[in-house]
Amino acid sequence: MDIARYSISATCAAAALQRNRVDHVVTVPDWVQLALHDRLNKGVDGIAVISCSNENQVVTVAAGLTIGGKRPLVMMQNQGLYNCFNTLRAISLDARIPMVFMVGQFGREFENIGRPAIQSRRTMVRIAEPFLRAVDVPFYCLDMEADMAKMDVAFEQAEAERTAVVLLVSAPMAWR
Amino acid sequence: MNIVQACGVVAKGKGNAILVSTMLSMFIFDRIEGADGNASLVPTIGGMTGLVLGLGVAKAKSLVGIAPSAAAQVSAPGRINSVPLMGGAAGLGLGLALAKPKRKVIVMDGDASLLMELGSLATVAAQKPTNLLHCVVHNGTQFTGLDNMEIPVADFRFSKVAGEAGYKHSERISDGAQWAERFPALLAMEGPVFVELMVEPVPRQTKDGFEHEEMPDRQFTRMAEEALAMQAWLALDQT
Repeated sequence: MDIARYSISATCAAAALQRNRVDHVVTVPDWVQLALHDRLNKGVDGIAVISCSNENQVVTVAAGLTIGGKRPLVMMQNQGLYNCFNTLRAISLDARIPMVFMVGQFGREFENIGRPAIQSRRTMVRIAEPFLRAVDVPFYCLDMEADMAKMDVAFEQAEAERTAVVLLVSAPMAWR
Repeated sequence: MNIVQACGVVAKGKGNAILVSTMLSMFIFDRIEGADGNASLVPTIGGMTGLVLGLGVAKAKSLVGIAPSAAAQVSAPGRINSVPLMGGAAGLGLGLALAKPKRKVIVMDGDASLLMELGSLATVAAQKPTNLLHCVVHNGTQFTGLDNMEIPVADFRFSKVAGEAGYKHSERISDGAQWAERFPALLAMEGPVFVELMVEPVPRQTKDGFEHEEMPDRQFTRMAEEALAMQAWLALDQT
């Protein structure tokens, strides 16, 4: 398995954040997106990082920032998404506060990368897409670097429809 | 102190601060602020007599008041209620405080809610929001005024834990008059400040034969309206 083909670089991801005028990244760190976390923690112009104790707080802090006129993005892994679903339900589905999530497919076996995630033998990976469909949360898969353009679409959709939009990060990010 | 004192002091003294509330406080703010958003007429007196009197005046005020506007039916524009979402108030307040550093933000948390997201104390403390006053109504009960079920640890010392987490100042207040006296100084203090308000539970209603009323749709839709109203209100903010 040539992971490099599917790995999005931290440089490309950080550029997408800046292009979308993200001013805060609110997070519980994700193994899949470690390279981006590292880049952000070293400092990316205009982006503050807020680390929270759990994913529920990630969602509520991001909601407060949005109401206050800021433009946050939240980062977490798939387990964290499942953990905070009731908060996502309250904040983005009921209270209709727009929010874009980058969610790493933590635990994905490398032989599944490049194939449909629903064929993964790991539960947390296999259920991500069916889960999001079931709970009416739009999502896009970031399977390779060219897919980072979907972040622009996600922000437009989140704001137009006042909902959450999830970007599923398929493979470990590249440290460049 | 009783819950009318706890919330009344905030409603009367918050000025143009942003207020984030949990469910019990939301119901009390709704009643004492009323359609005109003005809590000044509602007395804040201790004990059961004070509770009954405060809620009675609030009810009378609502009966003689003007018909509430659509916005007032939600809540005053400076208030958002983390309802129905237990545990969300501290995070919402933190996000608002970071987004609007020149405005004061008051969180009126609940004890059961804060226990659900106790880690939020560490999250808040780490961000050092100087403009945040985080209060918790500690009455030791859930479904207060309905069934008064005990929270898991009734004598939990929230103020101590907040201090250990790194809040700049924390204290516990049991007396309503002291709360009224301390509030302006606590609000003016550089935060994050934490205040544990020891509040007597509202008497329970449930008993054999009690029948549940359906919850109104508004309880499930108001947060969306409040978020939009607050977003519009804060967008006008030049600070």
